[in-house]
Amino acid sequence: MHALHQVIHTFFNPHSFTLAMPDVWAGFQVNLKMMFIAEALVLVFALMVAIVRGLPGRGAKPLRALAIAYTDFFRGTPIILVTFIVGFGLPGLQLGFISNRSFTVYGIIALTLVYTAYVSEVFRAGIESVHPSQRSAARSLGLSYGQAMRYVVIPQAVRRVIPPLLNDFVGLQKDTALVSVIGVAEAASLAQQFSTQNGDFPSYVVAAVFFILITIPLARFTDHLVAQREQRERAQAF
Amino acid sequence: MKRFLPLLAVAALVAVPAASARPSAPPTLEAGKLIVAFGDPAPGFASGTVRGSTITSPRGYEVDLAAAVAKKLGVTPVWMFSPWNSLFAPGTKKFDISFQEATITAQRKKTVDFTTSYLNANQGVLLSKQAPVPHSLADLKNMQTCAQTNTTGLDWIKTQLHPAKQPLAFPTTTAAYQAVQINKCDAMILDVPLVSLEKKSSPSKFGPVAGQVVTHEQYGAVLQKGSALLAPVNTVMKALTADGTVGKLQKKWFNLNFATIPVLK
Repeated sequence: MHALHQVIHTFFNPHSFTLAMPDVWAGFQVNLKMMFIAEALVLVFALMVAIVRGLPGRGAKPLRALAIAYTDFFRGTPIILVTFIVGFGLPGLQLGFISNRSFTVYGIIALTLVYTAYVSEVFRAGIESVHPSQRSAARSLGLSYGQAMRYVVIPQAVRRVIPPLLNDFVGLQKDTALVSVIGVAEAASLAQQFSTQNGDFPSYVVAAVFFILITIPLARFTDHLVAQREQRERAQAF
Repeated sequence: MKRFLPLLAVAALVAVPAASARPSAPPTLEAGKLIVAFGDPAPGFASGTVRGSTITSPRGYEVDLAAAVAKKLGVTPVWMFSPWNSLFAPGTKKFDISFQEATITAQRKKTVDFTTSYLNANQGVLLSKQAPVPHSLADLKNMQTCAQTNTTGLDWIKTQLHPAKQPLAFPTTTAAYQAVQINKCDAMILDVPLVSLEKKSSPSKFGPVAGQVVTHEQYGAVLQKGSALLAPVNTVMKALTADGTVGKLQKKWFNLNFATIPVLK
């Protein structure tokens, strides 16, 4: 009983919890910035990679191969290594426009590279789940390949993959904490600094609470979208 | 319980003579060996090739000192690598003693034991090649500072300097030095002996060691909290200081006059 009390005190001591709040919040703003920018970039790039991977014809073979190579490489590399390579590698190249950025920017680049690979697979699954008859029907109405994708396939595909997509975004939001390996003062790293200065752990709990507070609304929003779609599809059946 | 009492009594009778047979054997993890852990490579202190938890052919002041301590204790030293970030974590240590240029602080004493000091140190400011030279703490405040996590340097930045920008905090010394080399960090705050020797070993990669902040820190070797080895090691360390071995080793490895570095106020 005493041991349990001891653990509760070292992790949930309310005084230390309140003290850690401003510090960790300052760091969490960096996490928020990284997650929103990376998510916006991932949406655009992942869709592009998925479309390139689905391009028809022999002429597009090199492009498809490139998309496959990209996905294989970045989906298979631990994000912490990509962060190191981007964070310490790009500045060393001494390219004016890319080498003068802050570590936060390199963190965003690393997150975008890795999550684009994940999310492009989600988009691809969505595109392939649209029945081929939809595409044939669109083409027989005189739409070009691009138009059929733009007006018929992609809208249906995107709607279908929103839940798994948001699931990946929750993963991305949490992985912003990994950017601390290149020194970025984000929530988890500031929580650690607070913890070593104070000799207890409530700061980690504060950081955990911030992360949960941002992912729960996203989870509920996903549930809402799923329910909405189900209702719509059932309505059409009658 | 009663039933076992005679058994315990017999065990005690057997155990006592066995233990007193070698009265001088120090209480190390493995009999006859002193497992010594070093941390992130630090030129002049302890640097060698690290592979997992092994470190091969380490060289430096701390290595020589550890060897001298082991010799006086009458045991063979065995080297290993142990990461800095877990040094002060509570729990069982895999080493008998660790030399990692660790400053003795009250906070750290809650989770580990320290030997008597084997070096005094202040905090030093190592600049990147592009950074302007700070002439005061006010100048330093407006620069991008960085440090290693869990160090007294990072503590000093956060509790004393209060810089305009959040300091960058890296999990390893190597990463922090790298940030200085690629000009992402203007001023790295770490112990004077460490940054001075790093600058001395690769002069072209860094700017100058621009200043020091007087903090009067003392390095102690780290042992498991409550280790029975603490008392014998302290006796040996005091003897090594008294007979001049410690002074001789410092001269051999450092040979730098830290007092010439300007003091920042």
